[in-house]
Amino acid sequence: MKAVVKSKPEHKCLYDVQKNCCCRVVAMPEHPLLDSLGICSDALITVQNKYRFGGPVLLKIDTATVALGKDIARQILVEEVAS
Amino acid sequence: MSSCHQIQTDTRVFELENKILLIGNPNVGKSVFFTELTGIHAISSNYAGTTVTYMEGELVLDGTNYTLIDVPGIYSMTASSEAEAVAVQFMESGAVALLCVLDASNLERNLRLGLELQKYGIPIVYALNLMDVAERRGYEIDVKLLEQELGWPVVPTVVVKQQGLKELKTALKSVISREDSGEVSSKPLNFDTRVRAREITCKVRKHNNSSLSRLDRLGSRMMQPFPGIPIAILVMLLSIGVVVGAGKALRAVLLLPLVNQVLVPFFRTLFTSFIPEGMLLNILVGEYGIFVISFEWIIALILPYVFLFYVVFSFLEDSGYLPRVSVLFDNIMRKLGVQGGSLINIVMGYGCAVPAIIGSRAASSRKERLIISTAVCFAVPCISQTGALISLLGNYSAWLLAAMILFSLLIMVTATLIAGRLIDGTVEPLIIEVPNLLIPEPKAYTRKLLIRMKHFVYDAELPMLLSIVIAALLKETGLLDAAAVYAEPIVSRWLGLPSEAVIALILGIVRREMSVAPLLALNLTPLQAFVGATVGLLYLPCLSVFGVLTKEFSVRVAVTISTLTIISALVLGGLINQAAHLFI
Repeated sequence: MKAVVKSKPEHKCLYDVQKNCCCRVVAMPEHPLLDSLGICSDALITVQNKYRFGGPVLLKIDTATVALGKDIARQILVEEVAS
Repeated sequence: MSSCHQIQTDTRVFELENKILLIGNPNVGKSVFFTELTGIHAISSNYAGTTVTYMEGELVLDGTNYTLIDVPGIYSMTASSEAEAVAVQFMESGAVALLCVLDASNLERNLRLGLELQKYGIPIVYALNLMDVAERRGYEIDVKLLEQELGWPVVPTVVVKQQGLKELKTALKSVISREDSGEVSSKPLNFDTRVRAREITCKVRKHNNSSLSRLDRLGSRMMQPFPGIPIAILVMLLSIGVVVGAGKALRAVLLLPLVNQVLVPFFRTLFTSFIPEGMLLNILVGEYGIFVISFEWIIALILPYVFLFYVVFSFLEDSGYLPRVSVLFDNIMRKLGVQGGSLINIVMGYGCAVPAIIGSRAASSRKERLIISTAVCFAVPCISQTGALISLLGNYSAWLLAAMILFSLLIMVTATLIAGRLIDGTVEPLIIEVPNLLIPEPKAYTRKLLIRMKHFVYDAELPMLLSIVIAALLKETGLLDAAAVYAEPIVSRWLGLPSEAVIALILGIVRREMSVAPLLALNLTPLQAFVGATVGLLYLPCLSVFGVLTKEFSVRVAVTISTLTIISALVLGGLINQAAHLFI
């Protein structure tokens, strides 16, 4: 599963986004469950929590709360936006 | 309203006429709808993967019988998972109506599936469920406007409180009669469901900026590493305390007196009054007599712990707490080669390995499924065996019991790590939706508990009874003593157990707790009890589990795991005994 969009300097991987930051999805790997959960291009997500030692990232997408493991969060490119 | 069957691969169901499909995302309450509409008791649990199989039951509307099918929970109709493939198959096989359950507290995401369903041209009724949760979060939904936008009836419901069910049935009757009159036809979707779902949500949903309820704030706090992890540890300790402590109390205060002072004396008196001394009398009421051991083991030994385990586990399931634990401990599970969601299956294994192994179908890969199954077979005692272990070790000291708990965790970690290294394949990372934190609805919770206990009585206690009959026959016919002679090098010299302990090895083939329960009558030393408990814990999974492993994977996998468990049980048990004798 690989991102297909060239990253720009303002893009970063979701795993590196700080807690409580809002961001827009720029590119993501092809995974049907991601799309079904609302994680798709241009989706607005907020990072609610991060967990140390390789833990997942907890996101808020609209009203849903979704946890993504480190390995997949690192493959999702986002750009931070004002919340 | 009549009986229902849990069917796994029965293609006959696709050919049924008069089908109504119950469809929706995971965690929206579909199983509760199924129970309420058919009168059949389906277990409802609010994390994805629990109902990967489907249920069928009868629904009567205006005197006409329909087959209601609870299709596996899905997020879309793209057929990219087993559950979605089954759902697509159902849709393509035709139905007279769809009952699509939407989560009102998560409207946009649920509407995507709701809109996708429209392309099949089947009449739909939308049940807008969890209205109470949406209100609690400050969301107001204009149901009439939503109905206009969707073009099909929308019925607001709170299914656990049976609110909206009558209106739902009325709406179903109405759409079915529209279909019968030919007013409905299939139409291709000429819009992007994602965009349209967002549009509709923006139109119909208002947020009144109320603050989060106490429950939602608690649910949110539980997701933070602090205090989430301390809370999780506290919940675990409390759960163990309730199961062990209340179980022992129930056993001592109620069940043991009932068995020892009422049931056993009654049957002893009854049978001795007309059966002469001899083998038959001993088989019935002797040392291993059916009417002695079955009461002692099934009622006084196993039942209290089984009941309390399900009291605790069902509460944690219904409250939405378990997925939070998956998230909190995903980092640890990753180090073991799996992901956080596997923890739920492993915890399920403390009830019974069979649903834990079946539930692993929701895992992302075969490798992960095999790792979960290996961990459960090696080091997770089912609740019946746990009850026997608590009784065996708790009689000596709580420290011995604690040592066994830690030992079993060590075995689980080791087995998981080794399986992860040896099994080919990949394990997908965690992708999980965290459901709402809820206070379990008392009626639904009690119903689930009763169903679980009923299944335990039929699925577990009858085979236990069979094991007890075998034990009685082995003892009274002298076959046990003969087996003890042959097994003496292993049982007595290597493991350091009395020769009669061979019965545990024989009966443990049938039921897991039977590899421990017979040891209770043998006056063991603490070391012998620990060795016996170790052998029992690691010993091969029961026949039911063997059957499930064969079905879910292959005979080769079942035989491999069984062989490895027997070898590890005897080797580790013996090493502990031999090492202890070097130092003691």
